[in-house]
Amino acid sequence: MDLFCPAAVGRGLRERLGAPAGARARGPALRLCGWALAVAATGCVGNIGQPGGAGSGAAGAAGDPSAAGEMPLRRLTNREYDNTVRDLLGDDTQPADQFASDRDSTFAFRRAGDVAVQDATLLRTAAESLAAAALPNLKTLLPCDPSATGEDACALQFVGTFGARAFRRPLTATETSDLVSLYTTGRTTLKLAFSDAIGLLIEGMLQSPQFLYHWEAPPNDAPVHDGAVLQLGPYQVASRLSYFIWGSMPDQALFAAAAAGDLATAAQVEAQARRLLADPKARDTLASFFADWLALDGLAARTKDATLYPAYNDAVQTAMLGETSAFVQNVVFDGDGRWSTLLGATFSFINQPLGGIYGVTVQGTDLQRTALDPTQRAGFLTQPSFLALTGSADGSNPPRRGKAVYTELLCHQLPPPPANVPAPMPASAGGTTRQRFTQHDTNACTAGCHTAMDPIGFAFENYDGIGQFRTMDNELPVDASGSLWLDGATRPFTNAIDLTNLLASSAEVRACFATQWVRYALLRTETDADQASLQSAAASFGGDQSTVRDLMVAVTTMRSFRYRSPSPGETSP
Amino acid sequence: MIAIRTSTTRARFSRRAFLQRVGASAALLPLLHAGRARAGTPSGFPKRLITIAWANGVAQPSFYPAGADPTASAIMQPLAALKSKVTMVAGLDLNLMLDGGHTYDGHFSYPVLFTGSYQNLGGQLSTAAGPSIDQVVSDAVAMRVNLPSPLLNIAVQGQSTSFGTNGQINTAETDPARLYNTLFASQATGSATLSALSARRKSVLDYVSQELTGFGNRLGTDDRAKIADHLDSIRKLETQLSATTVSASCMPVAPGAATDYQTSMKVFADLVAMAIRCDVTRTVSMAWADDGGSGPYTMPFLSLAGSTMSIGDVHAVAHQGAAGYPDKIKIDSWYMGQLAYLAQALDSTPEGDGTMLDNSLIVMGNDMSEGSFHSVSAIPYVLVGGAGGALAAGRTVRVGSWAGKTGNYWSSGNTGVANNRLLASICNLMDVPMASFGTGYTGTLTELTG
Repeated sequence: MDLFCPAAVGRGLRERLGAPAGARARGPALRLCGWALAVAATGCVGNIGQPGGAGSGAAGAAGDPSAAGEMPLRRLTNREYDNTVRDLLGDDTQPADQFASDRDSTFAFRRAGDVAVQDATLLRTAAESLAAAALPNLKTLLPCDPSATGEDACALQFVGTFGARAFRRPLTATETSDLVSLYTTGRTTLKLAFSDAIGLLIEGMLQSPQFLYHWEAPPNDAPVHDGAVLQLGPYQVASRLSYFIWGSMPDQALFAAAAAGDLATAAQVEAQARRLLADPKARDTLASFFADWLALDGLAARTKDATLYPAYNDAVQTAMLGETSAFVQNVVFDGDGRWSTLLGATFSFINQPLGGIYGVTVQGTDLQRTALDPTQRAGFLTQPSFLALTGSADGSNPPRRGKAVYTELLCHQLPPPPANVPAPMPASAGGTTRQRFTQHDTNACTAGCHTAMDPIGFAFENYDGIGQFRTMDNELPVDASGSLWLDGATRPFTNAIDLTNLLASSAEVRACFATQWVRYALLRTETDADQASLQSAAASFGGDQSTVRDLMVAVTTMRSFRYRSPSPGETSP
Repeated sequence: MIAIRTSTTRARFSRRAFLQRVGASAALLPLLHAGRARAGTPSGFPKRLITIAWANGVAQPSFYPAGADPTASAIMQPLAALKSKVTMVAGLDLNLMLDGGHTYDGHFSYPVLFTGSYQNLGGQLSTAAGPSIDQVVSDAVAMRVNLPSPLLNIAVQGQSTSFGTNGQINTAETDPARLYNTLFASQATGSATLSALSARRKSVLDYVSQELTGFGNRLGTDDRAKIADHLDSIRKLETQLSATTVSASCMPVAPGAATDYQTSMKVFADLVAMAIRCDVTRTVSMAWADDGGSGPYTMPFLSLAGSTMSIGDVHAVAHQGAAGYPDKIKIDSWYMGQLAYLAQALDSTPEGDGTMLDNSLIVMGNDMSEGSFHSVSAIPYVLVGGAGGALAAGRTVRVGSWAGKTGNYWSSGNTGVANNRLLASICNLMDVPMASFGTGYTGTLTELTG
């Protein structure tokens, strides 16, 4: 079961196995083994059987409604760090651009790793820069006028007010006195002026664990038990909400709700979630979700054959990513928000460079809503961002495209790898891509992985390596028909448009999409204890009338968002 | 996990090393080594260690030399001018991965390459269970001297191969310009400013340490370990505050912008050589290539032509096996050219009767044997430098089932000797006595160190 098969081992396995400390992301999430999942040596793995077994994210048997999974400690992701200092300090310089990548090869969504020396150095550099930049406008951060209250008294007030925002909860007496000590050291030992000592406090707080990690329970609060699980405290819920929907710290209203104890019930959480969703900051989260889920950031590193694809350049690549962001934001926040629209829309947002890929004429560099040929395009899976990302440098790539659908939209894990796979024939050998890969897949050893992926991937044979529509491949007509196992039956399709119709109406795919949002919110893979939560999220997204906004709200009210089971070794609960 | 030798065994080792230098192996050494038998002692020049990881295997038939000259092959040829200082260690397996059933997981072997440890969590989820040799050697050096950058950890591309004491990955530097500032910014800063900055940083780090200690207490076991790693990093930053300063006579030159892979490689090599010359660091870990095979990782400057991917994806070329050899040999020999460039930079700096390279040890290892089947047996390891005269260089050392083979022997099967033994030997060469390194496999590589 442990033979080589890139990415086959399934994201989040380590989480389920109980990731050891220091077990850390390595490499990008999509590790497709080149354009062939190929290795050679001994032995073959046999038939994989029907997909959808282990690792399927679709909710199975009814879960225990009182259960909830664990809440592992998470550090702010780079995006969260940038957004947080923007909202905390008004600093939009995005210092986390300098941090190490928070891509996690074991999980679709970004998770920051352990703080190694290099990370600690970069966090220090960022804190020093942010503090220095804050000083000229210190008045906006200070709750008092030091010339009126006295400098030391004002510093103490600053610790209380700024600290509660930086730590996302009120400070304990110990935390306050630690910071006052730092201020005093600044004034005495370091002989700093008042404002510089405030800067020292900012530097300290921005490097403190209370700022850098999501654990917003005030240390002195007694844990609230509910059977075997713990209810998250109001400040934990407030931060969970704001980081899930905004990727940033709570605003004043959310802090006030936490202080008033108004985040205890599902209805209270839902009301706040709907308020947060109405804020433009939620749009960025949606785009970020799609980019991470589909690993679209990998497009930046996708080199394409310049001879075959002279139209592909940096401007086109940038427009591709912008298109998908603009499209999903439009559908979810300005449109009907439906899954069928995300997968089936015959419009998109295109500018002049991108128009060349679509074969439509658009003026200017602004992305503009543009009607598309409904026989050629349907939703985000037929957008050039996805197709170029999953395309080869010099052609389509059925395994990659099939794998993306298989793992990300169907929530299946790939079977273990075969061990002796020759590379598929090159285009120069003649035949369409499909013919060459089909021949490849008749190899008994290849069948393991590729029979799961390639037939789905063939649906996209009407799109070349950068997402341009085609009817001919290598001077032969394209055949984009195929079938996939969906909702308990084999479903045939004629092409990608047809496939997206199937995916749009599938309960299994809807449940998988809900599962992806649950993973995004919890930043971990689901466990048995999360089954009831998964089911409640999926139920909110069960019909064609339901919207992604409703799904996001449902995620915030589910059990595992507001409760957690204690971690092994945790002493206080 | 790591058996530390006692002072008695250390003394024995030193005597054996000395005998080796003056005895049978001495004939293999260039003359300058004879006069430098005490190199690496406290009164001599310091020893330096550089580990380098590269990926996607090698075209084995063109990699392994036919005779004793380790550079006498198409791929190794760029190192020919340094042949007396090159040692090829042929026939080592990553046994821990073989034992775990990950024979063909070469893409995910970086954690094992220099740690000799393995947490088998399946394929790419797996990680190290203990420290890499660069960490161990730099920790040992740090007991004697507080260098500004005890462990210089760089990833030109791909993931770091450096792992901390608990097996946690050490995040690598990826930006040459930033690295230059980190290493040499103090050169441009007045001492008064520098001392004020240090005092300020110390007070903040003290505060952060205090908060981390309190913060971790209420967490579960796994989460407490994350905080412990964080705290360890903060303590290392505190130690760095009182590190030796870069000598005023050391005149670093700011690197140019690195806009592509080829330039990045050169700029990082220049920085490493400079950092060693200035004694900013004595231990370096470098990842030169993405181990995952995921990267659309091309080398347009090599004009690769024979690949199925017409632009020459390095990983796809490796996958082709023999059919891709013409391109693969170009790629592999380019990497040896990079190794030669770095080694030459050290060799051009005289130290006593020899050169800086003679007092250094560069250890380069690949994540797999051949790119067409990803096996973690028969891992290519190339050593350059003399480790202060401790290593008899200029030879090809074939071990395990490869021992005694002639011609440009190579094979794909298991050789029977774990890379752990090489790692233990390297520590010994670097004066960090070890009876074994990592987990599961004991002993040193006596073929190498006598």
